[in-house]
Amino acid sequence: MSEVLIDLSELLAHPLRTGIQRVERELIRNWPGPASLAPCAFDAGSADLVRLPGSVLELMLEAGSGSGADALERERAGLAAASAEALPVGGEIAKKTIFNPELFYDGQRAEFYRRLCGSGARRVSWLVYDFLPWLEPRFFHGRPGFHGMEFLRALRAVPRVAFISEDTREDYRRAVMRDETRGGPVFALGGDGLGLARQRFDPARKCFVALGTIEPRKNVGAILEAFRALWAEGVAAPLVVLGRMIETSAHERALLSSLSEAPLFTFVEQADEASLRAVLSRARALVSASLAEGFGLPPFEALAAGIPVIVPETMPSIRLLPPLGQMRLGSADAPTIGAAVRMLCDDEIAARLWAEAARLRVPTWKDFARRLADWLQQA
Amino acid sequence: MSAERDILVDARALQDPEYAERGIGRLAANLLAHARGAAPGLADARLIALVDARLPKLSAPRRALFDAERCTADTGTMRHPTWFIAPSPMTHDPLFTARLVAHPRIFSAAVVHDLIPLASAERYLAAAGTRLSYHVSLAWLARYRLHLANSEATAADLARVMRMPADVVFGAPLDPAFESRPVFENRGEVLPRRPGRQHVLVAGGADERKNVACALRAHAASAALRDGGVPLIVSGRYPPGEAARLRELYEAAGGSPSLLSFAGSVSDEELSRLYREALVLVCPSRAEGFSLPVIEAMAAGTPVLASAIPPHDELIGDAAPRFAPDDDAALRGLIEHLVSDPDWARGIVAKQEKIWPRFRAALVAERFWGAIAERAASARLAAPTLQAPMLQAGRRPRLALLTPLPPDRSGCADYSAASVAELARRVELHLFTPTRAPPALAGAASIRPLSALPFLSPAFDRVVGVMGNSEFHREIFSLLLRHGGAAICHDARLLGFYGYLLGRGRACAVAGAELGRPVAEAEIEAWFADESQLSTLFYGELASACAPLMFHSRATARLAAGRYGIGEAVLPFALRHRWRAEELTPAARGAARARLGLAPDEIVLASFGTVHESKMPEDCIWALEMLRGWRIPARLAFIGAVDGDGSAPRGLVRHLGLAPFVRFLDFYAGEESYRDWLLAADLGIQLRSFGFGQVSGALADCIGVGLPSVANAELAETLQAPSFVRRIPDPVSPLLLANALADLLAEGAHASRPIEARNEYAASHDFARYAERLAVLLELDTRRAEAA
Repeated sequence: MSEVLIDLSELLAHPLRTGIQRVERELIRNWPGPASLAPCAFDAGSADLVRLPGSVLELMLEAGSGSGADALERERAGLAAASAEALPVGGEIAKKTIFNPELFYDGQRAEFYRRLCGSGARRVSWLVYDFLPWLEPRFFHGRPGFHGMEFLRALRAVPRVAFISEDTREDYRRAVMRDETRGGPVFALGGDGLGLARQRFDPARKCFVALGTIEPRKNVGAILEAFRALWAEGVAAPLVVLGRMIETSAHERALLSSLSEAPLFTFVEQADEASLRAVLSRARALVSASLAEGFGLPPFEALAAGIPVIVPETMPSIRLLPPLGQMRLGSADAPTIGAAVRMLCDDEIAARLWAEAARLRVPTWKDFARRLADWLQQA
Repeated sequence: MSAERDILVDARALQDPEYAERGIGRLAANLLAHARGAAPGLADARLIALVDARLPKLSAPRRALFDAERCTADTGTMRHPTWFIAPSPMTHDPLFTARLVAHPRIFSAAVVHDLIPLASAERYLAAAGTRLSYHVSLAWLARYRLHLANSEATAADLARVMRMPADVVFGAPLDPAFESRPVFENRGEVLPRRPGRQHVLVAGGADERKNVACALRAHAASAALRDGGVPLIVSGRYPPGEAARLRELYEAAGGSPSLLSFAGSVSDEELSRLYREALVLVCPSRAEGFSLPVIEAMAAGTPVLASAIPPHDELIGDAAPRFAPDDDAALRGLIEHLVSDPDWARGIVAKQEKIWPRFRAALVAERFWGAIAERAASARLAAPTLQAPMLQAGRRPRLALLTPLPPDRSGCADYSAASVAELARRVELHLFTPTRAPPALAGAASIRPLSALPFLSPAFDRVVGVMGNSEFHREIFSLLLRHGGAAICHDARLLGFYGYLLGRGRACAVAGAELGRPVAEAEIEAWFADESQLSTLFYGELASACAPLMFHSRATARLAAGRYGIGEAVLPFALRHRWRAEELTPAARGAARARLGLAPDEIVLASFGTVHESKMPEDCIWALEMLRGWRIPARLAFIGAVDGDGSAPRGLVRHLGLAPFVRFLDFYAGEESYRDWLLAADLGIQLRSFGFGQVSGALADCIGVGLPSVANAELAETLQAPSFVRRIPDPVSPLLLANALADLLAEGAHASRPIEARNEYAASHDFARYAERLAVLLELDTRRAEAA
């Protein structure tokens, strides 16, 4: 096999740095070969995949490492120029190794894959992140679960499907295929993306950190209420919340506002990776209360840096790891979170968790890319 | 603190721009302004304005006269002894207040201003329609318990024409604006004019009976007035053509054009100044009920020359300053005499200044309210409780239900028809319907065309309108808004009713009023596109007119109560279809499937009711696609009319290649066919894209026949659905729907009906309970009726 065609249509149209786009960039950055990664995209005009110039990948890596509006604009301009040079894939497409790592809502693109797979193409592979829009629709606006039905329809036809968590694979088997025999491998994402050096416990590290967008699904409200109760009891546990506020988070907005004068509380809405690293380098533990996740990268990254985590036991990323350095919560409510934080304020308990975390081997992006590449090249 | 008495006042004369600031509007305002201290027991009374939503709102000063407002004459929720006062019963639609006039527990009183149109029918009642309207108003006037005439002359007319003596003569109140009384200074001996009094004022008005021509001719013919340059000012409003005609008449009679002017619309201050600065007020009218200008001029210390007609006789008494209405020569002589003989003028003023004080507003109000209080105290009224007249008479309560009926294609129509038998066991039920050829319904005392009758007649203890979003409710809606009553609200919101039937403009206005901000058409369109984003319920207008507003789910009742500040009235939904045990057997189901041509092994999913995007047909189709993808040989049937052209769901069916497996019953499913589908289906699907506690009649139908179904959680909860209705979370996802259906099939739920659970639910959701609850909400004690 000389090449793997990777369908980067969404990344090309929306060159973001987070979520699925981040996974794609890490895959490109860490692609081990030997087959080359050939960028392509779906072309609505021809209703077919088109091959993009190889320079697209370099552009994505170069610009992807930068930040700010300028970098984004440069990347957009470069990608637009490169996509103008797109050419037909060439050859018999049904025999090619094609990889789609994206969730998309383009019915035409879905129909292309459905027909391709229906025509007997056996080397088409997809990576699936989660089924939350379909299975947990309460957390989403605009009914993406309905608008994504073409994606699901196509997915049912795809012969090779991999997942980023056991939970997602289980959902695929149980709810999408209703067939326990279906489903491919699980590839854990990388925990080393932050570039944070291995941390060491110090009793002076008092701060708890909550990380991620402020939205009802992330349940940050429960964390805030837990800490408010702790502070009322006199527990001196500082909390730093980093994350962008989503429009619909009225409850969280009100809570954050009510805590704006609390001396032990810091809220940072716009945080770059450097400030994120700075906050984590003072953290005693990372706290997450998320009610639904496809993976759950922040606790994965915290553990990769040796920082213990307080997480719901349902967190898919953590379920891929041995139970070390973690306080897994049976319930993500404020009293349960508060009790866990109170325990971790005890230096002895904290030191034990830190020691456990130090023993963990958390997968890296290189691991992710290598395992995924091996699987794709077996097609 | 609750008031001991409600005084409901027909405030239309205060709303109507024609009357609000003068005449009957001014009269009503002055009587109301002095009501509190006018009679014992009135200090704590609650003054309520009965306003007509079709007229402009009350101005702030007029609104301040009242403690509250209501916009219908509905008596269903009146809890206190009530008086109804009509300050001007002949000027507006008498049917609007008819229920109050005729009600056995309401004391009604009307002011009678005059019967002039009858005396000059050829002028005022020439058109047949006008004549009829006037006589209808007279007929209703006769039904008031107390008639208060403004003058002996009016009382005499009432006795002569109506053969009904007036009970009280109270006069008419002088507005305080005209009470400032300067000392009269007649400078007549030094004609022509000097500063101070300098013109002749004529009480005018465009109505020919005002007889202004007499004054014009008299003035025009007077050389003394002309030579002295004494101007003639005509008060009152005139259309331009009429003023020009009078000018011609004046000039033809020899008048100097420069001396004639028309005051037109003037403020109280300006009119008061015109009185004060007049040498004389001339009132040449041929007919009056009272004559306010006479006492207004007297209060200004201005001598009055008035025509010799009964009201003027009564007011002025003295024959000297009087003239026959057609005798302009006599009038000319009187004017010349008055302006040239200061002693005579002073003598007239001296006599007349004794007349007007008894018409000070406070004194008139005292006579007016005192008479009402005295008569009301001795009136034999029905007990002032919510007990209905019929019940008080020892009979079954009489209920008017305004509703569409079959064969109109409406779920509400079917539902009302199904409720008749049980309702009729508790009340004497009269149906008023917009349906053209309704069927006979056992139990109904009568079925009649929809009209305002039940609102107007106190023979109906309660009137209940059934509201929904379809066109069948348009007239019912209008009647409810006009007359009040109670309403059963089948839909959680009236977006469709307003947006489609009443127009986008009205929808914007109502939504804007409810939300307290402007609402543009684009926002209405966005709500139509996604009703889950709807910000209000569109019940504001009905909430202001009707009580109680009854909803079939607690969630909607709570929302409405919160938004409109009304009571929470929940009338739990009853199962519309009755099923006998033998109709629900496997054999009966098999027979129904055979009638519908369904194979025994075919898995039939059915969604009942109108196929509308809010019922999420595309989600159902996607779920079918998933099921078939899982090799479940399911088929889907939509049992109900397709809203619009149904292009979206039909297009999706084609796109997914599901045409052989999806049926749209493009006709309104007839009752037998509908029941067959309820029996034949393997699983039901009932979804709704929006909440607000909207009840699904179709889901109730599924429950009623024991059909295992999938519904979104909120829809199921509004009906407190039994466990054989599988809930999927809101908002709906086709994948969750497909899995719920597949789970039910895997569990074998479709193989047999959960008869026991179905029976249990049916027993607690039947129309007997519904009727019982309705009677409670309407505060109709039906125990006596049942005993009877």
